Amino acid sequence: MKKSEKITIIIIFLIAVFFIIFNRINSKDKIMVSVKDANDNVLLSFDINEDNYYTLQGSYGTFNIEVKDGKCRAIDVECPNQICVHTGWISVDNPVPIICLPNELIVSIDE
Amino acid sequence: MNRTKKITYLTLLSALAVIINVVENLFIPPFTFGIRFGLANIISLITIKLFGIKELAFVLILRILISNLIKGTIFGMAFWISTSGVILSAIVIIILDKLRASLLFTSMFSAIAHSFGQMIAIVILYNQINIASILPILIISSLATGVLTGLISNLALGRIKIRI
Repeated sequence: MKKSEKITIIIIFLIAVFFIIFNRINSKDKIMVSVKDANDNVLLSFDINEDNYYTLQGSYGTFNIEVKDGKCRAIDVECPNQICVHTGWISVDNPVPIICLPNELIVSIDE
Repeated sequence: MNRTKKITYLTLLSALAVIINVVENLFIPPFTFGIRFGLANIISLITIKLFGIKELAFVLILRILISNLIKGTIFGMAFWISTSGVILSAIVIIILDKLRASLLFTSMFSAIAHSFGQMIAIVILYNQINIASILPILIISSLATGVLTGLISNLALGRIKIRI
């Protein structure tokens, strides 16, 4: 490996480390999670750091959201495939949206 | 090297790439954030060093099509995501080969390009810009897996004795 290549790798590594630290510092204390329906109407918005239990009425049946320890998940959902329940816990470190097609609901962590 | 011999070698390389890709998918589950070894990149590096750009494209197209046919994910969402990663990493491999960079560097950079390409596809297809926040973690892990594939392809190239 040439010297210029080594320097390039080290610079890329440092930039990546910088962004990881930057993301950690920049993450806000209040992280909001929003529940939207298929027409992008916000049905519910809550803080992920406050433990709570929400019950919503989807277009198929009831949809429950459990918030605990800065994470949230769908639980006790009336839908055939239970894909939203199997998505599991979502948090800032794992910001995948929970989507339930039969109930037409999207639970996602806001910026 | 005559035509028949060349076609034989290219098919062998494609078959190796397909087998490595499928076996890795079957037996090594991805770590958190979908981090994988990307061992099939070894074959891409060997192909560009032994043959050239056209042959690399041939091997990659065969690998993508056949391995996705075997895995049953062809033309699905995961197919387009992985394909965009492969295309970007192939472009990087070709450019770095023209610049006469070392194999280890090419390997590390193409691994980074692979995760970059996948990230671009995810952002476009799923419309989720937030997922790009895991890019720094992916880049650091790409450096590590790039060293691994680079070392393996260095070892492999030292043992292959083909007269071209």
